[in-house]
Amino acid sequence: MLSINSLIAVCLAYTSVLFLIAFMAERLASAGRHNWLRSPLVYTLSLSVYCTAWTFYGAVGSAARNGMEYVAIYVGPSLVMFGWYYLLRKLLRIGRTQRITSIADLISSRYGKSGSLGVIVTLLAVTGSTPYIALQLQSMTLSLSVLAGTAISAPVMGMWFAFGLAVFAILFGTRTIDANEQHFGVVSAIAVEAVVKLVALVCVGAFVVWGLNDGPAAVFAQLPDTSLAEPIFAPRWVTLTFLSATAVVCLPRMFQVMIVENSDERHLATAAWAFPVYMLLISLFVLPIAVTGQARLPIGANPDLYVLTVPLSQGQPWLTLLSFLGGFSAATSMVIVSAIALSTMISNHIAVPIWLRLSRQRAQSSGDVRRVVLTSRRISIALIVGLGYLYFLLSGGSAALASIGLISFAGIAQVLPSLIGGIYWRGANRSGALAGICLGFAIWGYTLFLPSFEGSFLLPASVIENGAFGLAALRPHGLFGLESPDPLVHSVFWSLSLNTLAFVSVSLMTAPRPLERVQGAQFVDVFRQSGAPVLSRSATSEDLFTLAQRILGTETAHKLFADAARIQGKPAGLPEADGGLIARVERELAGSVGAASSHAMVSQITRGGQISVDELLRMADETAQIVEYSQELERQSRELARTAAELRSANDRLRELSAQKDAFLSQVSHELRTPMTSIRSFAEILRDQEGLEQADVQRFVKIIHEESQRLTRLLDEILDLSFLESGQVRLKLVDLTLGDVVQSAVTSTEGLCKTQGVALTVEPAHMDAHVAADFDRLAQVLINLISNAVKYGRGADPHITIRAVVDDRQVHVDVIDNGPGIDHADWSRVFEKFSRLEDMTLAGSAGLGLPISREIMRNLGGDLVIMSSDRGARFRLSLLRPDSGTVERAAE
Amino acid sequence: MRSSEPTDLAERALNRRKREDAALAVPALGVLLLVSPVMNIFTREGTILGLPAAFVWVFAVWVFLILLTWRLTRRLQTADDRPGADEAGDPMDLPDPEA
Repeated sequence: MLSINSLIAVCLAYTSVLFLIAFMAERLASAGRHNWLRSPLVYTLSLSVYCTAWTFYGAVGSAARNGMEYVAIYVGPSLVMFGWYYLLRKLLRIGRTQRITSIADLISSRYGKSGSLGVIVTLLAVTGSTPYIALQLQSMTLSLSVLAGTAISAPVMGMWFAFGLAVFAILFGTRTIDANEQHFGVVSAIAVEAVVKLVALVCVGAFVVWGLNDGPAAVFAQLPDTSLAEPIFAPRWVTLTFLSATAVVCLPRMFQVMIVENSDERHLATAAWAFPVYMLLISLFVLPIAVTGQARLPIGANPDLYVLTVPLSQGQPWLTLLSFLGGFSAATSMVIVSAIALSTMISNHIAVPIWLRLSRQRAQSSGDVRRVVLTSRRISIALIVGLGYLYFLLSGGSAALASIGLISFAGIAQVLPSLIGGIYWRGANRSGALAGICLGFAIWGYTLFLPSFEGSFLLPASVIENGAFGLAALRPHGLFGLESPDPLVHSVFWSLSLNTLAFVSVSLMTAPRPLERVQGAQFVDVFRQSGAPVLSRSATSEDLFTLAQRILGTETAHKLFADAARIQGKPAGLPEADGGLIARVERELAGSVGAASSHAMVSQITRGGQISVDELLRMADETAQIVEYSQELERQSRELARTAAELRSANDRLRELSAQKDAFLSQVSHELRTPMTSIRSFAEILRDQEGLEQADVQRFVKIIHEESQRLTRLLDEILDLSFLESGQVRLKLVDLTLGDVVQSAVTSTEGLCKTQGVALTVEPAHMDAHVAADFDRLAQVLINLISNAVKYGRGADPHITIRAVVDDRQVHVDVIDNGPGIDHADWSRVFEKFSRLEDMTLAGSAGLGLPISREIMRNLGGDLVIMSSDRGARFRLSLLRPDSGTVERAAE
Repeated sequence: MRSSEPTDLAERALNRRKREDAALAVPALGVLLLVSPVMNIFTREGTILGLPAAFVWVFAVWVFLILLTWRLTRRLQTADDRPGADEAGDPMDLPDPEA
């Protein structure tokens, strides 16, 4: 039996060594020589804070009771470590870029820097961790009393332990408020303790296997045949593996050492295999110790203390002492890191927001925020350890404590859906996370946490037995009638499945706020980002500097602003307070007081923080940008297609016009050739042949004259037509009496008719009608029509009739002959330039008469069409009446 | 190991992608071997070299997975540390804005 005094002396000496190590590490770190402290080995060893006194002592007890089950507690974390590349690496990167300080901060920051989520996760963590801390205190007092008897009462011992641990945590956990929230002293001490734990357990194991027995086979020969016969794979095995895998990420102390204290991402790659090696070594000898303990110790011995009692009973005081120190290390490291992690959460998510609210008026002017933060952390540490001690006192070392480790795991696992959803799913939002965590928390509390008190706290025994309000469906251990032999499996199933369901469905049903979308994009795409989007806010550099100074300290703030000024290219003075600087300051502050508090503080001194939702979304959402971009592209391509179609049709039209022009030109040249040829040939005759008769000369010259007149007329017509077509001619509409124009035309063609023997009749009806037209042009059209009728309308007894038809809008003039008429199929061709209907073509006409006439009529506001008739051709002129408003009255 | 890296960038990217996929395959294999009914095939009653089969199975698989991960992380790290890895336009490893 070791004396109580020597044990206390050993504890004090050991603790002093830890203090010294922590102190030296801090000194080295502040001197900038922390290469050794930042090695992957120290990082890996610090992760061993996962292995608490509960695992140190309790694993052996568990192995003694349930065989291989204890291994699940180490297999789960190992599997997570094996998958480091996908989950932990991403968490680390997010933690670094967003300056995450705790698991509560991670959730809060991801979901729009939400204060309420931070508070809830903090409460959840504190609720889950307090009994766990009590468990550590219990294991320490228990181990001490086993070794030294009950010379000192458990409450007194527990108080001293609690006091010592709180002092250590306050001294090294809240010495400074670092921008990266890293504690080199604590981490170094934890690493040393990790080695002590491992060495102690391995030594005890080796002693048991090779000292007491003849190798492993001999150990297991003592095993009763029935103890390992149960199949390992069962709901409980899966649940334990899952919970422990979750715990290694979500437990506040694990998050602290793995994410927050990490100084180099590459250390994770080493820890990915080295930490599983550590856990394998820790668990390798657990079963042999348990088996030996069962075989060699009396039936009543507590299996949870085999690690101590086996060497003690075999007369190995030094080994027992080492084992005791191992358990002591496991307990102290857990309490210290948990207290630091929880105090960070409490101060950042509860204390600072309250302080901010209370001191809203003077927030900008007075007081050092750092002091507030540090004070609140110190108080929080004392509070947390105090709570743990209180719990330990009240529960009085009851058996209920033994299962508290897994209950704690199940509690913090409620964060998992929101955590995983938050870093892989953009659509996850604050309402979903709130709903999921609250529901999961409530179910966990009702089905697992409160029943663990067995009726002594909040939930009476009758409710545990019969369900709330006596409803069997609400029995804490059989929700909805789903009975399970294992309350843990039952509770984990219901709480996590309903948690996930609420999280996903509420996220799908509600819309995230802009800041949530910004943060969501930054978390999910942390590996793809070239830089954080910058909100356009404005503040003065002085305000920002004052704020930074109050939280980061003068030196750090000065360094930060000098660096920012250098980046902006300013040699001296404060940098411009642009959006980038504000975002950077907010991020740096987040490293000290958490994202939500930092956001609230910076928002207090910035103006224009209210930016349009559209702007935010545009900045934040890469997907939205891509969608917007592709829509823009689509729109442009649609426009292009439309333009191309228009161009194509314009091109077709141009080509058609070009073909028409070519046809026209070739027609024109053809028409011009005929008179030119005769002019040239007669001119050649006159030049070359001498001694021509005077009469012949006269005749030839006359022909030349006529042909050139025809040529001139043709050119005039072409010119006329092109003028009319191009719309360059403005005909003057005046009020005319139709009869006058007709008479004029008839007079002009009288000679032609006589020589051709054509009878021309003008029917007198409506000849007194007034029309709006240009006298000469209208006469020209009529003359053209009459001469056409004379030329082509040759019947047996040629006869032309001119008749006026009047309706209420227009006056029509029909020119009718009794010739062969025009085929319906040729009606449109008649108006084409140079088209003469083949069989009726007569020399001397350029075929431009009808096109010109039609152009004139259209320019007069009327038209020229062919009408069907019984016999012969019937052309109809349409003319406007002068009262239709388009006419200028003839100025007379 | 660095000397065995292919010089062709495309092949290098392919190798890297394979290693990344393997990094996902190891924990999946772990789940299959340690958290699935597969376990019960190998952990029936009986002993191997005097040790319970379940005990041997769990720890053997554990060691195997540790070795796999150890090998894989070394190769993944080699690729990460390679100078100019970022410039090669690796999709998974853009330059850290904070670095």
